[in-house]
Amino acid sequence: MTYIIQTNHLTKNYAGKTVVSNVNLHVKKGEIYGFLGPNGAGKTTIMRMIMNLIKPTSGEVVIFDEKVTLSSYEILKRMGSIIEYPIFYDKLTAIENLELHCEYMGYYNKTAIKSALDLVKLNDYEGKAVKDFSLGMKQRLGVARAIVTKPEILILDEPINGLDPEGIKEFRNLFQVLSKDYGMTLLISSHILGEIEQIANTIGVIKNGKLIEEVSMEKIRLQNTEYIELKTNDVKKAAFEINENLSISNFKLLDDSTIRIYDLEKPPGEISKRLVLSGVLVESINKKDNTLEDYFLNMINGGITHD
Amino acid sequence: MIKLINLEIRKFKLMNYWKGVLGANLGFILFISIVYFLNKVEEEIPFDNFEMATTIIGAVVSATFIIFASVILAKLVIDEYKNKSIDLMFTYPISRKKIMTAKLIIVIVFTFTTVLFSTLFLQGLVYIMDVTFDILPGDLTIQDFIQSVWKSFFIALAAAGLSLIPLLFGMLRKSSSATIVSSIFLVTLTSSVSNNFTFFSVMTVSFLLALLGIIIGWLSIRNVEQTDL
Repeated sequence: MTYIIQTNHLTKNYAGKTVVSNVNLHVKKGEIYGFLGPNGAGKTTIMRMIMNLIKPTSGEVVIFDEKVTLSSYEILKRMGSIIEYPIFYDKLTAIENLELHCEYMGYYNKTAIKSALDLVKLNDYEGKAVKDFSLGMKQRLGVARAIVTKPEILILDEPINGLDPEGIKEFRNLFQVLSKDYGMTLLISSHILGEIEQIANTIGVIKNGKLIEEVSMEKIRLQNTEYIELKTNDVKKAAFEINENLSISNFKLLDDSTIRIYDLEKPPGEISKRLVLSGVLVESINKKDNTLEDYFLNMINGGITHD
Repeated sequence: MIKLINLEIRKFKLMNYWKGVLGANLGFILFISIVYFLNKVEEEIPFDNFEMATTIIGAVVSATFIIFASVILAKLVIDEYKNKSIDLMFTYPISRKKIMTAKLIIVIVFTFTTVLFSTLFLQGLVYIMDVTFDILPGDLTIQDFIQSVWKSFFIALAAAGLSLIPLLFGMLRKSSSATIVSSIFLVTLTSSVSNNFTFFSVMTVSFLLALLGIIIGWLSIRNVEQTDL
């Protein structure tokens, strides 16, 4: 199989309003797929359709090369999920919740519960009723529940909500471990780019129910290398200086006052010093390194559509 | 299916309800004794005969446990929808129909057994009291008692069906209070009918309503796969 999860022209209408429109998602086996979009863009709705909680108005979801239908129950055995926010039986303890989960999933491995609680660092709280848990702890327990049966696919809707910075870092590592060591395929949604860009292999950007981009992180990184942007009154002379005296050849004249230098070996300070010494007036010099964020912000706000 | 039922019982700690059932039965004994002694004090005949006693017992017991069952129904079905924990249940590799069936079976079996055994218990108590202390006018034969056993069976059967009717009102707005309130209305309705009619006509009405309850249960099982969450 090429894709472990695939949606074809997936569309969902609620009361005549299109919430998800013609989405073609492609998740490769073993990768971490980051699902990025502002709140209310339709991420949760798509994830609910993938988990077969709601039915598409049109289009289809294909998981493990199998079209998902009303009675696709067997594939759920191989999937773990948190949709929206983790829900528990509050009066039961953490461990009772996980035990029930394993029973329903048909997974019988006594040590699995302990090791799942270990992975999310909740083993001190296993005997505590979930109603006394903080949001962050519930989020941890939710992840523990999703992974306890070692599913092949993990669907996590905003898993970092409610976590402290320390927890976010731990989760980032945990997701990497699950992907690399356990070979799980992760579909993680978020509205915060920073969370996603560090772990995802592929990013799908969704806006107003439409998938506006699906691209591998590797490709984005190649496209969006860092550069130094230089503004001056005399580009020709500056270009000459940069080429000859600084021996930088990887640069571009953007217009008649701007130069972009892609070779970052020489720090901006040195470049401006050289130029000033040779009599070129430097109006500004900046190192651009938040280009990835710009890339996505442009996409979400500018709306480059791909359909 | 047995496993699903067991898991539901474990999940909601339903076994703790035995205290409630026991308490209800003690309440019934108290209620019957009060009725008996108050009438005795005023020098009236408390129960005309054994049949009247069993009819009153049947009405009170089924009313109580239908309301009791609506509390369980609210917990098992309505609250799961309201708290969205049903989302979790439906991500399990188990047919939604089976999950729903397991829940409704619990409600039906609970109502049937509690009504049957409580009426049998109370009728037995009245029978023994009559045999020892002759509390009722006239003679009481074992045949009368056997007949009342049959009656209890039908009362329990009708109550079991009736216990599903509140599901309709509860699911409309996903409200557990609507579930319980509708069950109270239901028992008021059925017991007010039973004042002046024969056992047979009361049972006809009850069985028609029970049938309605079964249809409501069947529809909610049938639709559970199609409905979006």
